Amino acid sequence: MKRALDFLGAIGLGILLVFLFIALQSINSGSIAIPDQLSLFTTIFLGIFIEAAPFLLFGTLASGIVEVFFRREQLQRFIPGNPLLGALTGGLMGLFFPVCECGVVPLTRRLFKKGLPPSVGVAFLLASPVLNPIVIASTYAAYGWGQMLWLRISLSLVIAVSVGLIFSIQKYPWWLLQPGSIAPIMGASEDTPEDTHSLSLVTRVQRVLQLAAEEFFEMGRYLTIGAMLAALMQTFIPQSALLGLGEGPFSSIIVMILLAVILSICSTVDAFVSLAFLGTFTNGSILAFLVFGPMVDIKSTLMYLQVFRKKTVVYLILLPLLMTILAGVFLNYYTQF
Amino acid sequence: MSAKVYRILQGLILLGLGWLLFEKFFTGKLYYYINERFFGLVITAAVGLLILGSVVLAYRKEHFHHHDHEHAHEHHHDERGNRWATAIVAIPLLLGFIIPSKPLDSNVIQSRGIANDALFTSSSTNQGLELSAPADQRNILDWVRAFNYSEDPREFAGQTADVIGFVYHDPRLPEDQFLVGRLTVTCCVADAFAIGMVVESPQAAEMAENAWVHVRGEVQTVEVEGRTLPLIISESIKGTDPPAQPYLFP
Repeated sequence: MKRALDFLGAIGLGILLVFLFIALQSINSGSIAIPDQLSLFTTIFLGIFIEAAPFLLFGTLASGIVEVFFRREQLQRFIPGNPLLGALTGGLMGLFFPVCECGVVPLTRRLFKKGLPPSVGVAFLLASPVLNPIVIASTYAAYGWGQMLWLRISLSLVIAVSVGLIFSIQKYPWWLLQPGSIAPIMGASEDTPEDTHSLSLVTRVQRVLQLAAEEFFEMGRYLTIGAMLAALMQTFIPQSALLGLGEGPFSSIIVMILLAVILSICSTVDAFVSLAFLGTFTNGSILAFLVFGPMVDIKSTLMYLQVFRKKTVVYLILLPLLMTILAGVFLNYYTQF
Repeated sequence: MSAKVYRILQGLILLGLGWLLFEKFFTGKLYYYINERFFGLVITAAVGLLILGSVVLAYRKEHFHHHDHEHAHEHHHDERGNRWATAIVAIPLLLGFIIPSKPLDSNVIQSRGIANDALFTSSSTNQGLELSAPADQRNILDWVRAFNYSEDPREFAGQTADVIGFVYHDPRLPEDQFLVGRLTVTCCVADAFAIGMVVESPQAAEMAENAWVHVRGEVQTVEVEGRTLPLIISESIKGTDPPAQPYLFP
């Protein structure tokens, strides 16, 4: 059966390659015209992919290093038992692991496998795309030492820690995760991992690269699909339709949140992008863009599904969404910010 | 898919992605996709992908053994199904090599509008920097910035502008005017915005939409729907080739 499938797959691939070759020839000779919208889609898709792929690669390398060079006990010594302190630690861990939202997912899953409590991991996952040196620096470059920088940092931390705390109430916290993300000792089906510490450095580095490659594909699929969805939306939904709704203190927040999800920009640079909306949009909505965007967008949602159960992912989206909207509406109505 | 085919496929896709990034970089087409400040990052990633691909191809034998042994019981079912899904990561590779690279053009204005007034109104730190260039060496981005930062944009009246950009016939403008625009890309093309200056010329109506032009003339101000935009009273308009670097990077 497996053989037959392989055989069919190989034939399919072969036929596909022949077609591609013919298509390539005809495009080059000009006998097939590429529709404008396909060109547009391809450019936007590759733009997002090329931008995000390096960060995903570094995230998977970080994950491989954690797997091979860190022991479970080392990790657990750092994590306080108290749920609040644990979530807070998770929220601040990003300061030492400078990853953005593409890199953080594989890294978090690896930390889960090393026995990191889910509540701590959730706080890390949500906070670290903002609370890390690179993103803080880029937000500073865009806004200076202003309210926007401090509100972005504090609101992200508050939301991440709150969601972490909410998850820590779970009686069986490991149920939040996909079976493949759970530490072996917690009852997942994985065999006890080899003790990599007895191996030579070269072998360990090889192991890091192999793990990184494996994970690059696993997460890369969702990055690809996410980038395609974002590019499709950008190709077919006129942004001006959305921007026209941007006036009200409430509607502007919804629009900017939608935009953050559709644009799917890396958190390391979203501060610069948000500058384009200053003045046209309420400050509360810009803050919502800067806080919610790094936590949830199309590609990260797809990647979350690899780590968490579906139900958990729904909460991971809805809780930050509600908190971001509440904070934004409050700022817009009650403050002069 | 057998473990062997799977490994080879992964190795080839990784090498291909590394190659794609290098190819875009060396042909100058990387400019079509992302802001130049990320070029270093992309090249680093390209080297990383090539190394990763080589490692996957070179050590596959040893790893199969290990892999199949270690994971024999667990994601048996899971991975079989997923292995073909690996091919999804080849999509950027296929699109990148098959669809000819084309930068975004003024067509995006239809969906995104002109963002002159929104751009750079912030208290950005590098205020004033853009005026260091002499008037006729400023690009459209410099002019739009200057207008936004200025207390009274009329201070620029009488200076000479010399810019290139694409033609966009904004329906809000009268017959004898058009916009000469550029796209700005902060991060990647997903966040591209158009900015522009109004050009006043008797030939305005004849200008082909989307054509690249080189415009020279005196700067004035014009009010369009309550916003003060830079206006060029054109002395000369020449058709020109699209610049190698199609976007401006704020």
